[in-house]
Amino acid sequence: MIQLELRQNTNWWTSLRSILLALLITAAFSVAVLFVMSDRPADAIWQMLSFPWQGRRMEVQFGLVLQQSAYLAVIALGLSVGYRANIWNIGAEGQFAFGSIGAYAAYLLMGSPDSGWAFPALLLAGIIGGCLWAMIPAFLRVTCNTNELLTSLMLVYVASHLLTYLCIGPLKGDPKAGQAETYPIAESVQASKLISGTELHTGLLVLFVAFIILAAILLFTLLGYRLKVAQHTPRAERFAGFSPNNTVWLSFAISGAMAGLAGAVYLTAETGKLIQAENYLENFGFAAIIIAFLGRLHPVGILLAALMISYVNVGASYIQASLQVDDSVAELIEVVALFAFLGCAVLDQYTVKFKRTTTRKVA
Amino acid sequence: MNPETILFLSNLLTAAVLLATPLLLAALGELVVEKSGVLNLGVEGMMLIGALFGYIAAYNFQTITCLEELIPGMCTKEERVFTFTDYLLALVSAALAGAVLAALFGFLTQTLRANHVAVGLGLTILGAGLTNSLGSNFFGVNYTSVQVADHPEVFGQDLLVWFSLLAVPVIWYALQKTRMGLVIRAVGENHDSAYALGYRVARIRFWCILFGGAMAGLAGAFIVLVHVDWKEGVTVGKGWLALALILFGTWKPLRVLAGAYIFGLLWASELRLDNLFPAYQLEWKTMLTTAPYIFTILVLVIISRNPRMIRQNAPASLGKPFNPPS
Amino acid sequence: MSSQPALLQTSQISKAFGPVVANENVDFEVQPSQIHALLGENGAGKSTLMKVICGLQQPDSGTVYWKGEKCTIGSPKVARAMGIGMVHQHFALFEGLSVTENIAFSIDGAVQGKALENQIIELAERYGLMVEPKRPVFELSAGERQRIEILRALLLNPELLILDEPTSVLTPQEADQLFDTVRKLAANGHGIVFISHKLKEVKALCDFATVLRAGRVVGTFDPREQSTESIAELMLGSRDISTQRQVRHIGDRRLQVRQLSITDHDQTLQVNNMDVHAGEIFGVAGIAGNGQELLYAGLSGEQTTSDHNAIEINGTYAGTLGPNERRELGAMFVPEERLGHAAVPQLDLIDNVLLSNIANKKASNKGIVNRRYLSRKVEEITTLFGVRHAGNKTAARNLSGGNLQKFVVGREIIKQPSVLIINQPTWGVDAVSAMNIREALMSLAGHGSAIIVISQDLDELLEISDRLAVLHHGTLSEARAVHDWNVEQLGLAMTGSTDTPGNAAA
Repeated sequence: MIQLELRQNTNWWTSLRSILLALLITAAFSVAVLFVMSDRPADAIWQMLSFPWQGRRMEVQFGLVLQQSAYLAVIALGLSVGYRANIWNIGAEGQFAFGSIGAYAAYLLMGSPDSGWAFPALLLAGIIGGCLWAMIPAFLRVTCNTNELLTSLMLVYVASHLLTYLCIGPLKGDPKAGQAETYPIAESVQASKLISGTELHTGLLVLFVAFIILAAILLFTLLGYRLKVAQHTPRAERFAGFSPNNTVWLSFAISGAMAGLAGAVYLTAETGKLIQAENYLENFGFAAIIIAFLGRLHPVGILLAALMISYVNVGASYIQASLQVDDSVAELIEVVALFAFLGCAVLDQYTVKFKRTTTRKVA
Repeated sequence: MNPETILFLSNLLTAAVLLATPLLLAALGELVVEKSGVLNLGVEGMMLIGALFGYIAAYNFQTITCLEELIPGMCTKEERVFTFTDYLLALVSAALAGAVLAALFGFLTQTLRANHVAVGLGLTILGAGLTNSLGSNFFGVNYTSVQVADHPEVFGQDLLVWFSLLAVPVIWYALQKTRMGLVIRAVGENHDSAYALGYRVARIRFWCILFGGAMAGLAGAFIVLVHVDWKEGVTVGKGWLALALILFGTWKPLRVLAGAYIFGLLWASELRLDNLFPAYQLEWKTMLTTAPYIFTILVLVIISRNPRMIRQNAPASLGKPFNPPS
Repeated sequence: MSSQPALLQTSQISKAFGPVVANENVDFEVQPSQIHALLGENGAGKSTLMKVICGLQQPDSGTVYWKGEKCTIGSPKVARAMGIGMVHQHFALFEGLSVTENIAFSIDGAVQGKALENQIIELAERYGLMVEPKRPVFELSAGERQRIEILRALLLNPELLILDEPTSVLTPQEADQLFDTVRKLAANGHGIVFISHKLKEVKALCDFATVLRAGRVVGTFDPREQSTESIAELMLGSRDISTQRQVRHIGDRRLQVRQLSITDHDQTLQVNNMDVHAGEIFGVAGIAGNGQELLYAGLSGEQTTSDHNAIEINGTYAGTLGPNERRELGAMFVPEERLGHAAVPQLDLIDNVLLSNIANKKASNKGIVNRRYLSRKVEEITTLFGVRHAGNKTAARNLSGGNLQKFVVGREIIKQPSVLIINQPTWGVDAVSAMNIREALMSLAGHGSAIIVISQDLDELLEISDRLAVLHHGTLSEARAVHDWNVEQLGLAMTGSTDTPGNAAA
């Protein structure tokens, strides 16, 4: 029987130790999963670890990792805002879609896409789009006390169907395309490449800056402080003069804005057009939830977690191509990592003791 | 009523039963879990894993006899026999698979006291990941060759339909009238007091979580064995709807039953609508598929506007972390 | 007596939590038919000893004997089955369950349904503990809830019944009823452990007493033969707890409340008339659960009223203003609950200083938190008020009750507030810290602050307040100078038994 005893004091070592243990467990499970799922497990493990140095040019592979982690980190950091305060927005996927829709709508409305302001305007529209979509669960929670977790999730399904509807119906582009999609946006408003041949583009810079700004806000300002207070004790929140309802608005606005921005960048940099949902949405919104918890809701942790998970994801698609290992291997590793980190976090606060159960008999 | 209307209505009802039963099974299981104060958001994941294992088990338990072998080594006409015992074994496999995943949730949240929401969401993703990887391993490229014969019926309906209907009064009785139910409700109401009285909160909750997992597993098995064939992500958000159903039913089994059938009917009539207007534009069909989700949101809004009702029926410790004094 | 084994005996019980020794070689003995008082300050080790006896905790060393036989009490269930019943100070009830269900849950299933209901009614009548079996608990008052607790302990027909500060939430009449019940039980041969701080009660009810101090037994005696003073000294040790009453200059009006009424769920608060002046300590007495929380919330702005003119702070109307706007008018607040209201347990002391300094321009500039300034403040508070802590970055929950209370009180006092509203300033705090806090409050008043002290400790209020009002059933009586009250009048006002002045005013 496992017994937990509260630690008197915690320090950096107790935290580091639990993180190392979690990494170890993740690694062990990953190896086991690859042994089960691959005919040539040794190759699979080796390629999973070293894929950037295999085959194609290294900067291309690292570019892919950075590209994916930028989206994940930005969305996850936005989500962590609410999670700190026990406000559960799990609908980032829908807010991401609305960010893209908002940006595309702004593009259509814009008279002269050649202006230098066009690109930032698109991004702004994306932020607004994501924000507005996130306001729905916030509004329902504040006015009707409706469970925001379920409503935000339901709205993902609504948003993705809406995206498909737009691509099939009112914004239908080239009918000869193999999928439902809109006409592409002009070159001038697409994010430009930073290093040719890689996936690194100006959009990623935008995401990086957004991440830094939000991280600074969370770490050093009253806003971050109020979330810390709200996370632990709503009564202390009122004592400090913060309104709990405003915390709900604020965290939904921020997480929606970040997911919306990511959606707008995705449109301008990756696809250049809206596509029917199943070919457009890459589950960034859901993966980001895992990243947020893996990073323990801390900006630095989130950044590291996003890099790690992206590395695993890109590695998994690499071995899918080279060794025909199904890339759902990445999903499994992600969840194992999540569970290992959540489970090991207990070591931060408690000492774990293995004891034989004292027999409790009722006379 | 003319025969056409009757046919239409009976078709509608059949479809509604098919759609409502998995919702009801999963929601009843999760209701017990929530009554004990645990919020397991992994219903969707447990349903998926139940669906996969139910399907694989059914495939393996059925007896395939080759009737005709025109080309040597290749069966051109075969007979698949799926007996009642085989079917039961498949259901047990599905329930076990759901329970195993639930046990993981229980270990992380009850023993290691990890965040319910995070682990629950992880469970859903794990369910999807596991079924995709195991599914692709098992079925390979063309899983059309993997077929399961028809499930046996009891009084014109699948066994699980009757089981789910019977579970409603049984769970009601167990929760309201038995000592076990009292213990579960008390633990969900105030875990600190229950602990102080000597009840092992974590252990009681663990059993409830296992039960919820088994029920979700059965729900998944019903979908693939009775309703549609296996495919990736076959549950299409039904696990989440089951969670919403519990709120809809304010933690009362009978209301959950009513809710499940209302959802089922709505969904079924929407599918019928498609058939009635074949020329209906694709784009509007797309929008129509959002109806159940929007309906769910509306229902949630209406329910949560009545805080007293929630206070009377909602377990007070639902989803709150439990840290026993050591 | 000595030929018959004791009902319960503990021998050399020790229990430590990390470095903190809660019990050290405790010998404790209860005889059948004995009403045994267990005395000691908060933190003296009473609750640990009781937890050991109830099976909630296992001792590190030592033995427990039940009727002369050595035994191990592995869990509360075992304790109950043996015949040990406990009535907790904080009710361990289940809000959503009915009275019967609550009781059924705790008595291990022997009796159910109608039979149990009849048994409850029968017991309730015998001991004058009236309850309605079918009602859900969340609708019941504190007094009714305690009756359930006692009933459910009695239903098990315990041979040893432990009552943990049972009278703290009762009216004097209810307490008298309880004493009758206890005496009847003792007469039937039950042993009773009676934990209390109220020495008068102990002297009136108990026939034996054990005093714990710092985890050790420091005395056993018959309380009827000892003076209150000597028992108190035994409990507290040889410390000087008397404080000199200063003569203070009463200045102009700082806080004015007129016709303030607030409703929160099923509770209401009505304050018709309340003025507090500079240099004055205004005490609010009352039995727990009579609207103290709501009065605090109403005055601090955590709960606002629609009538802007109902509250005036330093000449400015403030009825609709929130806590930070009221702070800017010069009012500061200390709520009752240290952990989770006045301080965030998981955050460090620096962050906890910020909690009541959100509007302070020095604590944060354009939204950016100034940790250096806050850290200086932590040092100021901790040195000035003698808060023992392991550094500024210690989480609040690692401070002991007394130290944390000094910290949250000190945090407001160093701001030299013009008005200070403090709820239960010394609740659950060790005697020395309590004395420090009371002295700090008096010195603050001496410097010209207006202070409102809401407290359930009447002795405390009589010691420090200049004027006193009584809160009963959400209504605040008219205030009178302390020397114009006598104890009898106060008791009556607190139980709402008379037409106290102020209730009639409209």
